[in-house]
Amino acid sequence: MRFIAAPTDPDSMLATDMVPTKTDHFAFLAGGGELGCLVAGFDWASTSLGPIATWPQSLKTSISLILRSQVPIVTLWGTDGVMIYNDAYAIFAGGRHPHLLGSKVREGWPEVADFNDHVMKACLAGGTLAYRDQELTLNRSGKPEQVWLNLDYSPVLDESGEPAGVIAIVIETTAKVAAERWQKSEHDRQRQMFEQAPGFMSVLSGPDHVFEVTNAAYMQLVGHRNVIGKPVREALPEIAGQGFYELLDQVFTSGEAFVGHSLKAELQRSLDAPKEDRIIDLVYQPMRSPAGETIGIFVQGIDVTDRLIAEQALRQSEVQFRTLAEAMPNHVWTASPDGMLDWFNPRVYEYSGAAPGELDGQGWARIVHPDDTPNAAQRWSDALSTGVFYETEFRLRSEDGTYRWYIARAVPIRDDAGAIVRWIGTNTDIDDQKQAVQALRESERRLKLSQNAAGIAALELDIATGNVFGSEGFWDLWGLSQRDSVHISVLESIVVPEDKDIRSNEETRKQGSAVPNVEYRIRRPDTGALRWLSRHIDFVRDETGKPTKMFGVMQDITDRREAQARQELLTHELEHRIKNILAMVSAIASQTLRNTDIQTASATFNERLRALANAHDILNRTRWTSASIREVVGNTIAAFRTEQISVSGPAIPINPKMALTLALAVNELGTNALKYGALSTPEGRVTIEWSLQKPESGETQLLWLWRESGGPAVTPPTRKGFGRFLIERVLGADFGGAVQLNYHLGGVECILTAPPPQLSNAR
Amino acid sequence: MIDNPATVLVVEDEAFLLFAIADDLRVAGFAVLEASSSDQAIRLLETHPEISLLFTDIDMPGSMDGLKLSVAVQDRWPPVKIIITSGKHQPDRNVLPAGGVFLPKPYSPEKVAATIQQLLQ
Repeated sequence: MRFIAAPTDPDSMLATDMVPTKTDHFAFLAGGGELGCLVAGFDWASTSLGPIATWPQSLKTSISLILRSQVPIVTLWGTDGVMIYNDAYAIFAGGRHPHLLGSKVREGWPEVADFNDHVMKACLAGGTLAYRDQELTLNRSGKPEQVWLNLDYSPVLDESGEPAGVIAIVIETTAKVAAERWQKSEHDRQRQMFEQAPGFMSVLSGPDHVFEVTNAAYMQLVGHRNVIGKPVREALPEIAGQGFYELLDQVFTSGEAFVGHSLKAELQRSLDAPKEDRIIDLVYQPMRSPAGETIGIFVQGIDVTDRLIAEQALRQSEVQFRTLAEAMPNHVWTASPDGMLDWFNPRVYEYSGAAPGELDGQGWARIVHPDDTPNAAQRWSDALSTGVFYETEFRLRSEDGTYRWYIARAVPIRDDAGAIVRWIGTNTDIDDQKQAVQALRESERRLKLSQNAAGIAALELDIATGNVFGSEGFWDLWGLSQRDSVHISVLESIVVPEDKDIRSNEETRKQGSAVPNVEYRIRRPDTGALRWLSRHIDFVRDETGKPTKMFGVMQDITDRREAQARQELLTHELEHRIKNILAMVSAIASQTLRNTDIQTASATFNERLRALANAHDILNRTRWTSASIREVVGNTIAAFRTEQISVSGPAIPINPKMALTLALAVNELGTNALKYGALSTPEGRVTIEWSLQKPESGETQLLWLWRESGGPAVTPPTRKGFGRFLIERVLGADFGGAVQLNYHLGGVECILTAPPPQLSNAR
Repeated sequence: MIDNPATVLVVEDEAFLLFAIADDLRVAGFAVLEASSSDQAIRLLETHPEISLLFTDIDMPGSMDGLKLSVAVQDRWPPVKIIITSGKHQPDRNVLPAGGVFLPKPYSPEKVAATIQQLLQ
């Protein structure tokens, strides 16, 4: 501050320093605050006003007045508008103070020089000016600033009655204007919201409900008729009798709000338009004066007609869906987006016997077969999370506890925004198909199994190309590695040359004249084994009757052929045996009965038949293929004193003829030993031994030995009986060897030497 | 007959039967040759022109059964008389060689001896 040397208390300054030295001239400044001191200390001689001592009284009076005012006031003196102001104005002037004091107004406020020039001219011409909320841009603190001011200008007259200066009262209204502006914009905004609100709104005033304001939605509702300023009964005559007037009256008189939903109103979009049914939700809100009395009604509502129509359409489609779903033979169900089932058609309840509600949510799992539940739950959860098609198969329990297979499918229903609003699902009974498929699969499996078990293979020949396609077992049958197909020539080369006329050939295949059922031999490429195959074929022909394909089944029948051959051999052998049995029995009888008394002969005959029968028993057990020497010997000697007989030798197989003869021979030897030899006394012993022996020189030989010891002294018989005939002649002949019968003194000895028994020369 | 016994060839693959009937026929006064197969029988016929009668079984192993043997004998040695035997049913007349006699098994040695006598008279 330039005048900082002055005392801070203006009163004491005036009283002590200034007033005593400049008595009369400065008296008007006493009590003039900070500015009073500043005015007193200013060098006014440098201005157009001249020194204070020269100031006219009117100037002094004016300054004295303003300095004491709390209102910001400035005086502008002379045509220059020299500025003198008070403390309040100093605050308003901001950074311009204090050098604004004594400056010319046009220079002091250069940014508003034009404005002030106009003020000066007008007021010095005797006029007054007043501005309310005058917007000016001032530069009070180094930067431009928008301010709003209430300005009052009036001239100050000098002693001669001429305007000498201007007194300006300056009140800043910036804050007030800002508040007002905000309020207005807020009001505008509300007004806009009101106007643009989707619901319809109007303000009705007075007991006659005169339209004061309506918004666009309301105008649309009433068909853009001009209703403003009209009472409702006049503005909307078509709603008479629908109760709205009465409701308004009631709200107005009672002061209580009315809230209505889905009210039906018949409206005309214009006066000459037909009446339309609209459904509206509305609120009649009474408006009260500050005194609390009802002065009007705020009407607010929504035309819900379209929404209701949409809802009704939805309900309708829902009803249609239900109707359809309930009529469907399938199970139909629906679920919420979170997967909770919430509706089932009657088929589900009929089938499951479940009570309504029992299957809701996740309760449906209760009728799913426990084995199928985890999979179904997993698929359902997957479908829910991905929002795509749901499909699974499971068994559902019916009321009687049995399960049937169902295929469950569901699709999501989405709204316009793509969000899932519902799942609709069906369960379709596929039990019969499932069973059929199962049965087919099983029958195919059985067929395959039985084919495999039976060694049956299938083939398909394309006659044009000669390509043979075989089943799994086909290749094994032919001794070939697994493959899809082979050329027929490969198979033809496997068939043995001797059977080439039995198998089909190119000619017979082309003509379809190949013999349908044949059996031929192949030489397996893998093992080289000779095998018998049976083959059955059938031809598929085109429309001209020309064979195009040859289908067939094949079987390795080697074992069967061998068995057949064996069977034929056996049958032949058996026939032969049986044929000769009677002849043998007859011969035995003839031999036995000769030269003896009938009683002895009868006993002997029975023993011989028994020996024969024993041998037959053995042969029957082996189906007349073979018997072993041990069996034959053991069985035959069982009739004698076995504790005195020792038997040792390997189980060498012999053919049926040998077996029968050996049995008869052992019987004869035993009988003789019992009557005359080692078995006639307890001390006697019989040793039966046999073995295959290979001498130093010569072939392997069968050596069979019967040796008696410890019995009575032996004398050779005088005549040849049946026994000797059989042993010496037949036994040797049947074994293809020779028999030696020795009558040693110590006991009979019988030695059979023969080639190793051959089973194949069965007879 | 004792001084100049007729020679009979018995063909039978069953040794027991062969030897039994052969022994029986010897007892009955015939000279008997034994064969257990057709092949053996042919060899005996070739070396024993004294054979005047063939007594053969039908069912025998080998390339030639009793019927074929009979046909062959009739063809090569027409004077030889033929008796055929079998345990199976009697063969048709037309397969038997002309003049051949069939005896079913089992036969009694006496019946065989008598038939031979009859044929050789």
